[in-house]
Amino acid sequence: MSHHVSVTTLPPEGEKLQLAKFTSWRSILMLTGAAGVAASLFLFFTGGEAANSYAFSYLFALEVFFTITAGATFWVLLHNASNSSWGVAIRRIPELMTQLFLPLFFLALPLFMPFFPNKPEWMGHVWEWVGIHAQVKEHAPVGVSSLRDALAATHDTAVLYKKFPYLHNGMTGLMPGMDIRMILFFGLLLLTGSKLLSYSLSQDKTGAVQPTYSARRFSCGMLPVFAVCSTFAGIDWVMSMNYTWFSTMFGVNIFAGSALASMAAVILIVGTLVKTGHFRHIVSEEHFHLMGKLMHAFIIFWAYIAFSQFFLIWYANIPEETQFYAIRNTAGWWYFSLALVFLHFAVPFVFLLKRNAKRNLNAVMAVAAFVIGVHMLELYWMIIPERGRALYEFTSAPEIAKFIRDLLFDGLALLTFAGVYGFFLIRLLSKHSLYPCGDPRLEESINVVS
Amino acid sequence: MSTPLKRVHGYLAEFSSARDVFHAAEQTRDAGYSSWDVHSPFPVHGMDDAMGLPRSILPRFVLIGGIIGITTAFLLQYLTQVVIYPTVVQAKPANIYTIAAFFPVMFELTILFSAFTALFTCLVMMKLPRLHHPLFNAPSFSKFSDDKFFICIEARDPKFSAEKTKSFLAGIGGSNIELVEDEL
Repeated sequence: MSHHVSVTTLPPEGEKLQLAKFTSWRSILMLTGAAGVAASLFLFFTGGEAANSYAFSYLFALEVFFTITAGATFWVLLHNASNSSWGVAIRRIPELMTQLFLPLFFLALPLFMPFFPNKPEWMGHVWEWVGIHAQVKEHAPVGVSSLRDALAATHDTAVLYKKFPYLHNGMTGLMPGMDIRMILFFGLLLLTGSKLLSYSLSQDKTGAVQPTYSARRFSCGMLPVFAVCSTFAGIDWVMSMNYTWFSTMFGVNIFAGSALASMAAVILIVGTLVKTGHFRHIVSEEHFHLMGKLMHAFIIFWAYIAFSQFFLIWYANIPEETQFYAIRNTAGWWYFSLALVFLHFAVPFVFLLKRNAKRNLNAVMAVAAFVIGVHMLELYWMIIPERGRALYEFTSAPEIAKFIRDLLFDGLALLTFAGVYGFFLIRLLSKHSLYPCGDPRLEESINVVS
Repeated sequence: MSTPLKRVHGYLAEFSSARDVFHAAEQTRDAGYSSWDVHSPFPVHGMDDAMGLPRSILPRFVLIGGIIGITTAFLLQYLTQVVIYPTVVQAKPANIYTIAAFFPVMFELTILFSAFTALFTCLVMMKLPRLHHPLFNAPSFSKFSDDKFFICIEARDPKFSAEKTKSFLAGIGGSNIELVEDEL
C-alpha cells in the first residue's frame, strides 16, 4: 500500500502535458486529419456514386467518435451528479474530451447540410427517406400542396406519411427536422461540456468549493437532456437509415456502447499519460481498478441491452422488425453478428473478471483498446450493411473493385476523424492542467482505495 | 458450591474513533499477532490492509457457482427442449441455434447460483449461524453496534501473554481493557 499523498506536496498550478513527448504524434495526426478532410471534401464535391458510398463510411466514422465523446459527457455528468470523489483525479480527461463536439460538429456538416433546402444526393442514399422526399418534392402530383400529402398520394405505404412529423428536414410547424435536430443535439452537448469544464477550470485557480455544488446541480438537470440527445441522435442518424424499421431499444443500445467505449478511451488516455511520466503520485492502480470495474459493468450492460433487443425481435418474428437482423444474419454479416457476441461480450467479460486484469496497467489498457475495437465493429455492423446489404459480392471484377474501394473509404473516413480528433485532443490536453488541481476532493481521490 | 469452569478468550480493548482503531489495527498487525479481530459499527475503508488480511478466497467459490449455474441452465433446457422432446415454438429451430431462447434462464441461474454460493459459503467461512460468542460476556462489548470500536486479541494467539498483551493494547491507545472469559 502506498503512502498517503497530501495535496500540499503537489504543485499548486497542477500538471501540464509534457508536449515534447507528443509533438511528433501531433504533427502526424494533424497531417492525417488535414489530408483526410481535404480528401473527404473532394469526394463530396465531386459527388456521384463515390460520394454516395463514402457518405456511409463518413457516418460510421462520425458515429464512432460521436459516441465516445457523448460517453465522456455522460461520465462527467454522472460523476458530478452522484457526488463522487473517486474520479476527481482523472475527471479532467473526460471533461476535455467533451470539448471535442465542436470539431465533430464541423466535420458532420458536409454529411447533413443543415438549412439547405435541396439535400445532396448522398443523404438520399444514407437515409433512404431523404431521397424519397426529394424525389416526391420534384415530381409532386398536380394539386397536392404539402410534401406530406404528396407522399401519401405517391406511395402505397403509410409509413412515410405517418412518420413525417418526425422524419423530415427543415422545419415542419414547431418540429425541427433531422438536419436541424443535429445542430440542436450538438449545441446542447457542446453547451453541457463547456459548462462542466468551466466549473472545473474555475476551481483550478481559486480552489473554491462553490463550483462543486454548482456543477452537481447543473449535472442533475443536464442528465435527462443528455439522455434525450444521445438517444435521438442514435435514432436519427443510425436507426432511421432504414425508415421502415424501428426499435425502442435502439437509443439505449447506442448509449450502452457509447459509455463503454468512452470509459475505455479514458483508460487508454490516462494510461498513456501515466506511461509517459505524467500523473505521478496522482493516479494509482486503484483508479485503473475502479475504471476497469465500470468498463466491466458496461460490458454486461451492453450485452443485456443488445441481447434484449435481438431477443424480443427474434422471438416475435414480425417481418418489419426482423429485417434489421435478417440483413445482418446473412451474406457475410453473420460473422459480424457472431463476432459481436463473443468479442463484444464473452471475451472481455471473462478476462476482466480477474482482479489483476483491472489493476495491471498493461492488461487494462489492452482490454480498453480491444473494447474500442469491438465498439467500432458494432457500429460498422449497424451502419455499413445499409450500403451494400451483402458484405461481399464477388460476381465480377467491378464488384471486387467496388468492395475494395469501399473498404478503403471506411479506412479513410476513420483516419480523417481520428486525425482531427487526436490533434484537438492533444491541443486541449496541453492547454490545461491534467487534473483538477483546485478541487477540494482531489486529496480524497488521490488516496482512494478501490 | 461449585465455581463454574472458565476459559480465557482474550483481551478486549475499546477505542472511541475509527481513526484510532485503524492505526491500532496497523500496530497490532505489525506486532505480529495472528488471532485477533476488529469490531466496528460500520465498515472501515482500508481495514483489510490495516489488519494485514489476505484476499478472501470467496470469489473462487462464486465463480465455480456461476459456472455450475450456467451449465445447469443450458443442460436443463437443451436436453429437454432439443434432445429428449424437441419442441417447435414459433417456428424456431429445435437445435443449438435456438440457444438465444435459453439465454434468459442461463442468465438467471448464473446469478442465482453465484448469489447462493456467495451467501452460504460466506456463512460457512464465518462459522455462522452460532448461538453464542464469548465476547458477549464482556459488558462493554454491546457498544460495538453503537459508537465504540474494539480490538480483541485472542488467547489462542501464540504471541498472547497475560501481561504483555494487556500493556500492548494500552500502549496502542486502547481503553477499558478487560479480560474476556468464556464459561464452559
